[in-house]
Amino acid sequence: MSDHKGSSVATYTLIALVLGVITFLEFAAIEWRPDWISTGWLVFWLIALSVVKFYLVVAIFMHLKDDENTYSGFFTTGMVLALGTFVVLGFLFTLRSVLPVWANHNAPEVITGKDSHNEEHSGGHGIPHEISEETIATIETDGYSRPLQVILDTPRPKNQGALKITPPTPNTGGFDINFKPHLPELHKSQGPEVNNSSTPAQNGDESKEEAKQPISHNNVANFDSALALKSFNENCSACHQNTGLGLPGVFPPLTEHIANIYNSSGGREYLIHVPLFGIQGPIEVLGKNYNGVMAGRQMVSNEDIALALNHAVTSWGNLEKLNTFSPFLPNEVAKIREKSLSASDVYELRQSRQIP
Amino acid sequence: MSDTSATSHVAPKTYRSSPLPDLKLFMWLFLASDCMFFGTLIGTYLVYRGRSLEGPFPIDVLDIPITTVSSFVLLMSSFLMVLALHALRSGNIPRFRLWTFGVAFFGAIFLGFQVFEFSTFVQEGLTLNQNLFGSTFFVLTGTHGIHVTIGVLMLLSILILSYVKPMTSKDSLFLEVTGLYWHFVDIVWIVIFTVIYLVEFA
Repeated sequence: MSDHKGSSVATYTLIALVLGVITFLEFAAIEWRPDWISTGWLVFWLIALSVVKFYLVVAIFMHLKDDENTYSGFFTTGMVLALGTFVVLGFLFTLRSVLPVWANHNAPEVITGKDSHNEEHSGGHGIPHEISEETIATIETDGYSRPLQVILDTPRPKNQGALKITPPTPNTGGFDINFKPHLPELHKSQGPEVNNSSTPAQNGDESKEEAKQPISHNNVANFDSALALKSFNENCSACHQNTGLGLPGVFPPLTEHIANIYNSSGGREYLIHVPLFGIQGPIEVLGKNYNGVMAGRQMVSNEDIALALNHAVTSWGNLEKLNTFSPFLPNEVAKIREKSLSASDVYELRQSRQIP
Repeated sequence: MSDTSATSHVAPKTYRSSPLPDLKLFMWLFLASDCMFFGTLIGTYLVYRGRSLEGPFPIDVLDIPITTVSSFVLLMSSFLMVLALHALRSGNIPRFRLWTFGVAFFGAIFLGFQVFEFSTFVQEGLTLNQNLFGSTFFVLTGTHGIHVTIGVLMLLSILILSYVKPMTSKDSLFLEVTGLYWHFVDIVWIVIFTVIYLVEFA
């Protein structure tokens, strides 16, 4: 049989103790989560701890550390193949979002943007002004890359999907920030602070003139409307219907209603809360009373929530009713997500801001 | 003690290129293939993670405190497993029986937790065909549960065998191989516990 040298009952007991302590630590990290640790680092440490447990059991309890190399070879081969299967599986589901970025590798860069919220999300990983194509290839997401992100993404800054400023090209992922001067009110709206001070849009008179022009899809085409529609259909239309009309008395309509909210003071930011955390409490929408519970959709990615919101706000005639419009961006959603509110909190927010 | 038994077993076979016992070699080969099996199931779970259109969603039903306890029970069963093997190799049969029973018992407790978990989920509306979460979750954890069940049956059969006939080095090898299987089931759960349960609440 095996040599099994060096492993005594005392060793086994010690290992068992360590395994127990690690399991308790994992439990504690989730149950009494410290404020200072970011989700990314927490996931990283949870995975690191499980790797330690995995190793201890394999090396000590299964004696692989002291046993024949043949066994280690078998097991390692199996593990490598399993991880390979795992990566390929994830890659297959990520390919659709990554490929177009590679295809557009030679597309001319117009402006390289820097998001004002970067620093606080980056957690020490400073994001350079110039973003390489490789970075974009990994951070451009249309929702197909979440599974791999969960595992591989952890220590790196999250939610920068909207940083790159490129000419609008089809299928480059959900977002393509290309704010043109003809949306001057962006700068005073509560939207993202887009640092495009180099553009000539700062002239006040010019702004006012252009603001009167009707907003259309043509001059706000800076998110992928096809992906937005897809995200809405996947995440929202079961209740609100793909017509945005909802079900009278049960699910409030988005048609007209969401435009009113968007136009109200604090409404734009409030809108991000609803899909994330849901809402619970009696509300009146366009003369009809609703008293249901909307469950939050925290499992939906920031990108998809932003896309779905963009679809709702710009569809069914809503866009024409807006005073101003700047698309929702994933990093805005990420910022709100950190508040982790309950559905009732969102209701209180709605009351306090007197959202229509 | 293991050296003598190894030679007595291996020596008569003339055309053997490897001095390693077949059964153990087979088990490691099987575990390697099982790695791929579970790798695919966990990969599938993650690929479909967050894609369920309707609830219940993971965050609604998964219970961290209860699963932590059942994970701990399974980890400790692995500890008892090495003690059982150690006792048998030292010739301490009563201890071996006690620990082996302990492993099977802890495994049964783990399964009990899983039955409780599954029935709670079904009550909350999560079934195999409710949504993507239900399908991938039940297939993954169900497959793991079946592995645990087989492990418990193997352990109980060794335990019964020890009352029927005197334990030999062959039985020690069988217990060792069963132990490898048992520890493997344990490490698969370590991964599942982290990736499916803990990360969901991170």
